[in-house]
Amino acid sequence: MANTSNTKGTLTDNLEDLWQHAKSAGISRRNFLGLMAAGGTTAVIATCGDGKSSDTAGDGSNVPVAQIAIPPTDATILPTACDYCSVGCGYMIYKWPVGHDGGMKAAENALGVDFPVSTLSSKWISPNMQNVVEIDGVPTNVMVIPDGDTKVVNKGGDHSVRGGTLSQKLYRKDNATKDRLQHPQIHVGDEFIDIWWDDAVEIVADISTYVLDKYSEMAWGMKQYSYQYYENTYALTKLSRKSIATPVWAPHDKPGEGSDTPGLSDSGIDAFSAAYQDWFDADVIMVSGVSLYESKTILFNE
Amino acid sequence: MTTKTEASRREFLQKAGIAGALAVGIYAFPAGKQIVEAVAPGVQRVTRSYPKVKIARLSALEEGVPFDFLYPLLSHNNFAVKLGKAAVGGVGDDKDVVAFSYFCSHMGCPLNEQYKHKHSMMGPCPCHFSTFDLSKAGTLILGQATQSLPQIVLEVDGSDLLAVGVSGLVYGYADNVTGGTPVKPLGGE
Repeated sequence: MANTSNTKGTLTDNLEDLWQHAKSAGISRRNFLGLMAAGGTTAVIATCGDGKSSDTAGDGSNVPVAQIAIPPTDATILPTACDYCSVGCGYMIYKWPVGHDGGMKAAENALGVDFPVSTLSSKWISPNMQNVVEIDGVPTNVMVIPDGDTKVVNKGGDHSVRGGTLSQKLYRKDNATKDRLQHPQIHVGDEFIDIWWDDAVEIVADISTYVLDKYSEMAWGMKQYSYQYYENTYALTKLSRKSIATPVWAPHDKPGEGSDTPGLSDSGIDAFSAAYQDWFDADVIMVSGVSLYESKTILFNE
Repeated sequence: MTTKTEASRREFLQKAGIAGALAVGIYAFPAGKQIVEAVAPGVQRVTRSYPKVKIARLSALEEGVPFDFLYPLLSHNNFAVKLGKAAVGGVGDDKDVVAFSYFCSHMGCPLNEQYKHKHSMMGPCPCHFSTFDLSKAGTLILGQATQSLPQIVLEVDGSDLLAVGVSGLVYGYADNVTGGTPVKPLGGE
């Protein structure tokens, strides 16, 4: 194999020879490909210096061909929504183990499309829509691409740079995401110390009981994130507003619970419409100090 | 997403076993060189290199005027342009000759006629308004594309301008050299 990887003219011939030998030795095609992969990889790496092959055959350059992995027909498919802003564009997640890619023909992949796909397709996979992460110790391809079937927002596979790169924020040990907290932490002296969730919940419960008993709910506050809305904020919102019943509660970027633009709602104008249809039907949209294209890209385009 | 590495890992062979990937690489592209890329710790991918193709005489390029060419497939529309200021990946005496794909890396709309010489900028794309800085490897200035505009890697051979590769994946493709007719390589049969 080490020899066959070096000459372009004879590569296919040699592979064919090897396959004939393998077949006569009773090796299945699948096992043969597996053996070739293992042997070939070792051979290639053995001849590698700085990651480029030291191969001198052929007139090719030293630039590697960009590729993406294609989800196989049995990939796990899950719907999701972009969690970066309140517009909530639709996306689809595809998961499959590394090494079990689908093919470029429609019948060979989970997207049901032939590659290359056409302009304005919702099925193209940008390299940044893909990631390889470990799931239960298994290297797994995770791809998050726009949902081409959405009926209200990001129709036809439109996507922002934020939603298009959702898979890039998955945890990996070897990039910036390794900074992510793995456990709750408690501030002891000058240090933050990792603790288990059970302990964290118990500590919060004990201190809350003490504060509520001694100072009342006025002394118990909650500052929480609010995007992704009701589904993901339900537990914290219910705890703060129903169970504890504190007025000291603030979502997102606000110091307290109030309008985005004080006074505007009182005058009959909603600063933050609850329905996309309102945006589409509006005769005049006034924005100040913000680029609508930058901050709510998809809504602007639609 | 990928970074080149020389390190091999035994666990890769045990865990990943990219049988399919390697086999496809060999069968589909007998020509060119093999290159190994790391896609994650312990996970590698074998790919090939691009052909070298002559696209123009350097002297034929006029500052600020895009020159159209096809590479590495006849279905890939690209342009070369002399920016008039040094650029990342620029070649020629002033290091200001660069080349890029015409397909917007957001959703593939054609960027023809959108070059703005004053800002070395391609765009805004007529579909969703993405803009790209041609002096900085096609990086996104503003807009929706999730990767830079794919840059055609150039070399100069005497007075000839050669295309020798593509940095980035061209819109629509799963692989820049599969799914179309290759252009004729330099000195190719």
